[in-house]
Amino acid sequence: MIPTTSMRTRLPARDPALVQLGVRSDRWDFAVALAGNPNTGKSTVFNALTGLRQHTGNWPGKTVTRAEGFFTVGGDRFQLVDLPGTYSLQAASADEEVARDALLFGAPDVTVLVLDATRLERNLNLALQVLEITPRVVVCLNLMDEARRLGIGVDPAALARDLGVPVIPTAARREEGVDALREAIRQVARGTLVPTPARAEPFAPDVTALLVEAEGHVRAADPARPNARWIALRLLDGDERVAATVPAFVAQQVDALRWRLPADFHDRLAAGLFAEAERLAARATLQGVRKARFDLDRTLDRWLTSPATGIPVMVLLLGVVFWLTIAGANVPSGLLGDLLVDRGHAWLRDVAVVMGAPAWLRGILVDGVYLATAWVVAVMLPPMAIFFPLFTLLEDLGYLPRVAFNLDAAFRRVGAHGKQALTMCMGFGCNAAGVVATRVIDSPRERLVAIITNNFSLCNGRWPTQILMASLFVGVLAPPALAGLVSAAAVVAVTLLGVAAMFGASWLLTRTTLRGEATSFSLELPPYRPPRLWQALYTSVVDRTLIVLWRAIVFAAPAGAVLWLLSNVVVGGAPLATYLIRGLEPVGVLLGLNGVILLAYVVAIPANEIVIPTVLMLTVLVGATPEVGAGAGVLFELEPAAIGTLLRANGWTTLTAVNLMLFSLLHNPCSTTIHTIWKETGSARWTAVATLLPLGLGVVVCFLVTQVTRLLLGA
Amino acid sequence: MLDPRLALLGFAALVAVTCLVAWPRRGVAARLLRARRDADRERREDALKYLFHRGAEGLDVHVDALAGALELRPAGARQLVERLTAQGFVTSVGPAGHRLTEAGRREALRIVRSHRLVEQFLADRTGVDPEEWHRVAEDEEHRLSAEEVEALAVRLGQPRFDPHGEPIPTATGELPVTEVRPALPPAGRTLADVPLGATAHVRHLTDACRGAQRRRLLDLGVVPGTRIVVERRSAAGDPTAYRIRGALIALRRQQAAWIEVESEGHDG
Repeated sequence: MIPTTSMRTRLPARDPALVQLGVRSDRWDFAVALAGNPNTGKSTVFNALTGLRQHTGNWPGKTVTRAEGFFTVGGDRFQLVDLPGTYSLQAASADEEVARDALLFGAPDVTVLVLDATRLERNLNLALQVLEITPRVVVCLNLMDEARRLGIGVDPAALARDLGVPVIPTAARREEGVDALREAIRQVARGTLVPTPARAEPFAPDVTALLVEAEGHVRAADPARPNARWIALRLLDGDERVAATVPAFVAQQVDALRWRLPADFHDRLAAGLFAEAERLAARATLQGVRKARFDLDRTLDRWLTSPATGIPVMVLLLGVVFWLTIAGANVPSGLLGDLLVDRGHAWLRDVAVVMGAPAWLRGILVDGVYLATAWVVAVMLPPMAIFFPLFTLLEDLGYLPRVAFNLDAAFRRVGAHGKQALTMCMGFGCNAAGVVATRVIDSPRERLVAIITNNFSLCNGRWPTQILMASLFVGVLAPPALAGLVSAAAVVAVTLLGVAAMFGASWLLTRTTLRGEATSFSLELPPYRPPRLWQALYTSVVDRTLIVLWRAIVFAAPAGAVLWLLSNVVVGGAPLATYLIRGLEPVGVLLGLNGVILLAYVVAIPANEIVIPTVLMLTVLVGATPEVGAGAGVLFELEPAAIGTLLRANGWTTLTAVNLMLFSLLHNPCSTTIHTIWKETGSARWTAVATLLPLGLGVVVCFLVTQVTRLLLGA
Repeated sequence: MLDPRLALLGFAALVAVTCLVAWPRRGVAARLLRARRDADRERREDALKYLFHRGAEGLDVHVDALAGALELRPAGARQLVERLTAQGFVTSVGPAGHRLTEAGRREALRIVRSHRLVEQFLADRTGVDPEEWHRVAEDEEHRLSAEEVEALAVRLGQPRFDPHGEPIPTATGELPVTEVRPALPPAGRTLADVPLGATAHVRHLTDACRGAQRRRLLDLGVVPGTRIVVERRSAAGDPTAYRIRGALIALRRQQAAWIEVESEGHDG
């Protein structure tokens, strides 16, 4: 249902602070929060409740993904906000802080708590914490199908009795129980069903006495407070965010009590909650249900994580993903190139001519902005649209954590997290997406390492440069029969060099600048689950591919204009680009490159995809063979053989090509990635490190390769 | 074209100069930074701390002892004591003894508070090695302003103890007397020693497990009494996957060694 203005005015105005927090809106009758542990099928419940009426973004001021959706039941409109999956609500990580603040300060009308029926104990630990904050809870006992398969019997009625809130058994993947869940949400929201949650008593008598005293102080200051006990508990545990929400004298009163608490108060708190969770889980678990004899997960794990088969299967699987990406992207890339670059560009030029646009305007907009953007889309979109869904499928299946599990030992030695293997793989698709993917690493130091070193993964945009240079300049050194093999080997060697650089840089960073950053390792291996094809396709295309593509377009468009202007603004008889190339030439020669390549890398910072077309255009502009190409400032591509002839005629040697391959691997990230790093780290310092470290390494490596080669050849 | 020998030589020189300037702690840049610090304030505050700790043992301090502790010449130490006396922080007792006045005690507690808070910060929120906590705190305690110290305390959730178990003086200048924490029983078997397929019960988490690491393990349900089954080793042998409260959690060997356990024997 689409909200209309009249409906909006029907409702009382919401607290503006909450509207800003993104939890409340005038457009919905009730705000519902969705909380739960990671890997409880929470996003499946979210999708089952909302369908495709959802959108994702970030929590204000946080790099934590925020999904928001809408649904209606019996005329009431609900807004559903998906809180990050967390194990607890201590606000120890950004995810926990977001979830905790949304429940505490956002005060949703209803909180849906997704519990995994197969892991009740650990899930109930979170449930008990949520129930302390808010009584308006509906428990969604999810994965009932999986519990049945594993032979785990859970009695929802018993759990509902003990918790004092409605418990709806669901199998969200099959849409089982979703209607009942919606109805329960509505009843709690409307107040026709009032939950009366049971409270855990997790302490020894002496500590409980202190807690009662602290609760008394909180209540005395604000008798209407619904969660005084939880507030008191958090104050005793030294929670500064909660302390800021109570009057200063209350905080001081409770602070005085803290010295009478045992030193390991926090540990006892955790232990007490788990003891209660254990008791509740035992009471809700049905006895006498036959355990399944065949354990599929264990069998799969035996194949996928054992020393003998784990690594080969992984190499095979990832190899297939890359092969599908590279091979599958060729045809659609060609089609898009034909449509957007060849025909689209020609058509727009004609339109501009017919409309009588001046030549300079036509040049900037059509030859510059449009062509660069079209080029980026044609080369970038197909591989990402293939790679990301495949990767998401492996993720959904539960396989990716196993890759991290298998490779963690190697990453541990350089001070990194096993999950960096995953963000590294993602980087082969696109570094910007790889940087965003580092959110799966919840340890601050390891996440920074993964962000800073992601650029060492040779991304999609750089593969064409590598393949072209390898086949034109390296492959030809071998006998014709082996040429293909040798050039492929050269590309693989560069890729592996990137992996080595990633390990080396990680080692260096964790021993120098990042040494003091906090670290904590944990890796849950979730059960294998059949992936949901459409959901994977939707989330990977919308959340990953299109967002990255849009950012790339935003950066590519102005670069197109700059490129055209540099090639066409003539000062003193030569275009501006000529002077820049001449100025950069000495540096280029020192590095075994040339001025054209360096200028191309400066101008093509928005996307590696347009480096080769830019190099060709600039070479023609300043070179000796002006008869090819479509004019100054217009990107173009040629048949590989023709490119070879053109470049050799302009002084390129095998050394130039090898250095270009190295520099393509080791240079600053594209501007999209730099922007993403800045957004993810919120730090100019780390963004600068991530930008300059690979560039510095590239300059040093090219310089050394060039000078040592020249020394050996006696040049 | 530039002679490659010349180019490589120039490069080597550049690397050498960079190292000389930027090398951590020994480089020219680090030395210059150190020299700019307020050496005078550091000496004064170190003297107050020394007098405070001796005073806590009921001892008065002789100038020579202070000179020895702070590595000063006796004349320098005497001058220092005179200045602190003039400021009203120190008073003389007996022929050659010195002790803190009430104002001096408060000042000393402020420094101790800042030192212990910094240590707690390093232990709880960073990955800095335990061996370095004291050294870093010795530097930082002299540099933090009163506001910075209080902001740090708020950020850490007003901790009561530093990582060595010593109480942190309060902002109002009190040092609460607390019962000494009972020494934990000697380290027994840890989860890292439990063989594949076996089951163990958690006894407790060792003190070496702290900060984010400890909170994460507690949240996963690793509390005294929890039953843990050693399920799988990864292809490389580390980490190991453990069945903890129904979930399969991979922990590294170093983490497993923080979890002291009692074995139950092999699981069916």
